[in-house]
This record gives sequence, structure tokens and C-alpha cells, in this order.
Amino acid sequence: MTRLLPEASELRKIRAAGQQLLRQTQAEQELARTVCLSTFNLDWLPAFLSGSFANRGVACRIQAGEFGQIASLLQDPNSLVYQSPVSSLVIVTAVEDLLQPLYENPRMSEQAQADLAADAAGQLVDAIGQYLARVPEGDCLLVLHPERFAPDANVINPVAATRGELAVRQLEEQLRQFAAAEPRVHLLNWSAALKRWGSDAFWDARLWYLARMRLNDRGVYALAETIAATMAAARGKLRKVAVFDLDNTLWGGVVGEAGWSGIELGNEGLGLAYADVQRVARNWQATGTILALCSKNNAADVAEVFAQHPEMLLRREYIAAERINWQDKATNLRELAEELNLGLDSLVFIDDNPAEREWVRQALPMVLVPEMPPDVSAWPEFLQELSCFNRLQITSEDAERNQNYRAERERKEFRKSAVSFEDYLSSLEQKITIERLNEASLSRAAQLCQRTNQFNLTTRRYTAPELQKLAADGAEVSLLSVADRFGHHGVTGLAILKPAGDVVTIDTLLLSCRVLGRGIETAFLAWLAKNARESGRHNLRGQYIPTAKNGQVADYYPRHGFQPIGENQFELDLKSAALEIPAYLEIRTA
Amino acid sequence: MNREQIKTILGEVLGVSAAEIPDEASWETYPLWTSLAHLEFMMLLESETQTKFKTEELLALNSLAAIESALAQRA
Repeated sequence: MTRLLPEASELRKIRAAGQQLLRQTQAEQELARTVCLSTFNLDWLPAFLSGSFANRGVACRIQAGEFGQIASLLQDPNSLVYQSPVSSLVIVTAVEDLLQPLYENPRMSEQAQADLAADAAGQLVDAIGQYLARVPEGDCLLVLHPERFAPDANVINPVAATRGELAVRQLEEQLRQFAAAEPRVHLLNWSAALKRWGSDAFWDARLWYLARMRLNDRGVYALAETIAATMAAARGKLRKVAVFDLDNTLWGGVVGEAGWSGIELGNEGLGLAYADVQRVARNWQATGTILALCSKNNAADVAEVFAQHPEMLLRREYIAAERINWQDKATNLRELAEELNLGLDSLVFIDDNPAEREWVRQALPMVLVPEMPPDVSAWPEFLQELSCFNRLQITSEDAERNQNYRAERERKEFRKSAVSFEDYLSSLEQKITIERLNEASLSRAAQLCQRTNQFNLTTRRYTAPELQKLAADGAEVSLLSVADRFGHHGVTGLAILKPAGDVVTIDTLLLSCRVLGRGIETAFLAWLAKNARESGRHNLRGQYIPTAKNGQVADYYPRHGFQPIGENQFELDLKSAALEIPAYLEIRTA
Repeated sequence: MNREQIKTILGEVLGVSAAEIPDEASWETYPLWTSLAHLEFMMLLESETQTKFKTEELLALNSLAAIESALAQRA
């Protein structure tokens, strides 16, 4: 969950649990695989990685190739990399291994260094390229373990060519460029982790000389955590809402006693620590995490803080939902999840009070409740290192998410004033745009597949490369976006249709919860049916695959006139179907 | 640290119960006790006993008896 390193005894428990998990998962042949390849001995990685993956809800079987064999394992079509089922790839390289000739002879000319760096990067890129070509739905996480010393560390001028660092920087840059250009290759931010702890903390010379290990057990654990956090982010395994307590959490002191002017918040001392906590929250909000408040307080006191305190970094408009009352916090969290239309497993609850944390953990085990450090000075870094809000990149929907939730609150207020629900829907002036998958919408499409749980008929978790392959193979991937008088919801729906002869099968149909209950679910299906009919198809087929979370769509197809043709399989006769787009909705095809 | 405690840690590394490991087990004689498992085992012993072995000791301490004796001398 967090990158803070555990003590030795805790590490022992983590490793033992990981080993047990590793043994269990090895027998599960159908489980997705992750294959780890490295230039140095990382035999301890699979055990730690098993635990780190499991903690983030990433189910997979981890296998490791012989170290030092990256190129041959990627070139050999019969190697474990290419066994079934398809594997994701983790490649861990060390600068010293890739530039070994330079470390043996640091007196290389500048040109020879550049050639060596280009050659080393080129070989690695070619080998990964073979994997990407053979495994179209695979992705690769690439780690460059930084050098402990420059090739000639006795030359202390960092820009002197004779120090050999130019080759190191060129190698890094070439791998960075490769990852930037190839969406299926993710470069791990491992240097940042090493900077934080210092490479000595993870180094044990005895392990290097006896077993060619460049990392000790703490280092392997930290690497596993960093890899798992990145893979989880790539697969959309993230929490969506940060729910904050207020007193002694977003500011110091109790506002009900001290008043808004008496709380600790500002540019000095502990006030600065609380301001930094707010800074972290504000950054989360800017990158798409929804902020909510849950506090035992008088609403009027809290309102005064937001309105009056000059050092408040969080504004009221950043908050998508709040429960400021004297109810127990588990009840409040349930209500917040309901209001936001999200599952409890989307929430992270941040509270200074150990008793409140424990109560929520017991009452709502799906809510993530970080164990906050006892000293608030440690909070900003602790929160910053929570990996549950990590994203590989930010889509425009991420950046606008809080604004969308605020608009939703306004919609709800507006709805209260409407005469009837139909009037309300008409007055919303909803406009739907449907467009085919393209390069710009690919990452959002993958995000929707990874994250949408409730209104998702089949819950197929396609990744970006898999969506690209589906489209290339002839599937019709359509994305739906919605706008209304209160603003844009962005891309909130996706359908994947597979045509075959007279029949079109709906492989995937999903909608984000925030546009449900407004006729859009009917409009989308009606548009798909109309489109299929106009393309000369006779039947539209749909499937419902039940999960723990998608019960609300169990009767979606029958409700829209589809007839059952098998267990959870349905079909619509397009000639006689009376499925229509509601009159209050306007659909435009981009 | 006594023989049983040492066996518990070794068993944890090898994925077997301490009772399955014979008293006379050594790196050479006990098949699951590979060179990598040995290093993992020694690292765990170090953190449990707050001690640090030299590289040559990591190699030389290759049986339960030798390890027990070395730890006793350091205690």
C-alpha cells in the first residue's frame, strides 16, 4: 500500500506470505502470467511480487527466467515467455550489466561510449520488440537499475567524458525514448525510489559476490512494491475517492472549540504540515481523485473555516461530497459511496483517530484505511507515497472528474425543482456524441474497461493494446460521451460489437455510473441496434456475465425487448424491434 | 538461538515444517537447501539475531550444527 519500508521482522512475514501465495498460484494454470527477466539475480523477486500484486488486487502467476538471458528468452518462441496464457513482462536491467565493457575499460573514447550505449539499448529494444510483435495484447514493464558508481568514479567531474557517465546518460535517454514512443512499454520510476532510500540501503556486497544479486531483501521488496504499484496503475486498479476527516487531519486542533481562527494551519511549524496534507489532497484532486469529507463536527463551524481561513488550500468546490454531522463514520462512508454512485472499495478513509480508523476497518473492510504515522510531520510524505491513487497518465476525464461531480450535485438540486422526471430529463438538454475508437480516446477506453463495475454487462477488462487489436480484427469499438446544460461528463460509455454475417454480438457494453438513470442506457442500445439494422444485420445479440457488482444490469437486455436464447444470452430481432432513442436525447455521431 | 528455532527459519525458507528437517541437515545433504535458499536463510538469521556474518562465514556455515555453534559463540 505504501512505500515505507517494513522492519526486518515484518519483512520476514511478508516474504513468507508471498512464498506461500507463489506456491499456491503456480498450480493455477489458467491465471494470467507475469514473467520476470533480469540481467542479474532476482530469484527473491517472485515471492515479494506475489504479495505486492495480491495486495493491489492484481491476480497473476509469477514466473522468472534465468538471469542474464533476456535476449535469448525473448527470441526463443518456445521459451516460458511465450507459453500460454499470455504473459506480461517485467524486465529488470542494471546499467553495469548493459554497459559491462565500459566498466571493464573506462578509458573508452567518447564515440566508443556512444556506440556502446546505442548498441546496448538497441539490443534490448529489439528483444522487447520481438515480444511485442509476438504477443499483441502483452505489455512490458522496463526497469533500469541505476549504477552504484560511474564507470571511472576516480574522475570526479561529472561531465568529463573519461568518467564514462555520458554513456550511462545516453543509455537512459534511449530507453526513455523507446518507452515514450511505445504505449505498451512502461518505464519504472525506480531511480526515484532508490534516491529516496539511498542505494546503500539495498546493497549487500556479499550477495553480489556469492550470487550476483544487486539487491538485498529490502531492495527486492521495494522493487516488488514499485513494480506492483505501476502494474496496478496500468490495469486501472486504483481507488477513486479520498475521504478526509477534518480536525487534526486537514488542520490542527478542534474547530468546534478553537474556532476557525484558532486552528493550526499556515506557513510555519505544524500548521505547515497540515497545509502540506492539504497540498497532497489538492494534487490528488487535480489528477482525478475525488475528494470527500467525513467529520464529526458542526457544519456551520466547518463552513466558516472554508469561507474565512486564509490558509485553507482546499476550497469547498474541490469537495465532491461531504458528511459533516454526528453520525458514526461507517454510516457516513456508506452514504458517501451511495451519493457518489461508487462502491465502498473505491474509498480511502484518512483520519487521525485510531479508534475511528479501527471502527471503519471492522465495519467496512472494503474501505482502505491507511494506518497514519503517529506524528503529523510524517503525514505529507506518507500520503504522497500511498500508491492507491497512482495513475500512469492523466486523461482529460481525470482532470475534470471533480468538476463533473460538482455539476452532478447541481443537477440534483435542479431535479428537486422540476415538475416531473420527464420534464427534468427534457430540461437537462442532454446531447450524446458517439465516436469510434481512435488514438486519442484509447487510454480512456481502456480506463473504462478496467474500472467500470456496476453498469458493465460482461466486465471484460481489456487493456489498451487489447482494444487496439480488437479494432484491428474488425470489432466496432464505440465510445459515448454526454454533455448537458450543466457541463460535460466526458467519455462515459463504451460498446464493442463483433459483426459476423447477419448477426452482431455485443461483446462489451458499459456506462459510467454518473450518467445512469437519464435514458442514456436505452439510447445507447437503441443507437447500436439502429446502426446494426442500417448495416444490413438481422439480429443483435447480447450477453450478461454476472459479477458481484453488476446485478443492476441482469435484466437489461430483456427490459429492452431482447429474447433469451441461452443462459444469460439474449437476441433482438432487428426487423421487428421497437427500441427507440428517447425523444429528450439528441445523438450525434462524430 | 537453539536448533529448533534455527530449523523453524530454515523451514520457512524451504517451505517445509521444522519437524521435517533432520538435525544433521546440511547444505550438501538436504536437497531443498539450495545455494540461494542458503543465502536467504542466512539473511533471515542475521536479522533475527542482529548479527552479520562475513562472506566466508556465509559459505562455511553450511549445516545446522555449524550455524548453532557460530550463533552460540556470538551470543
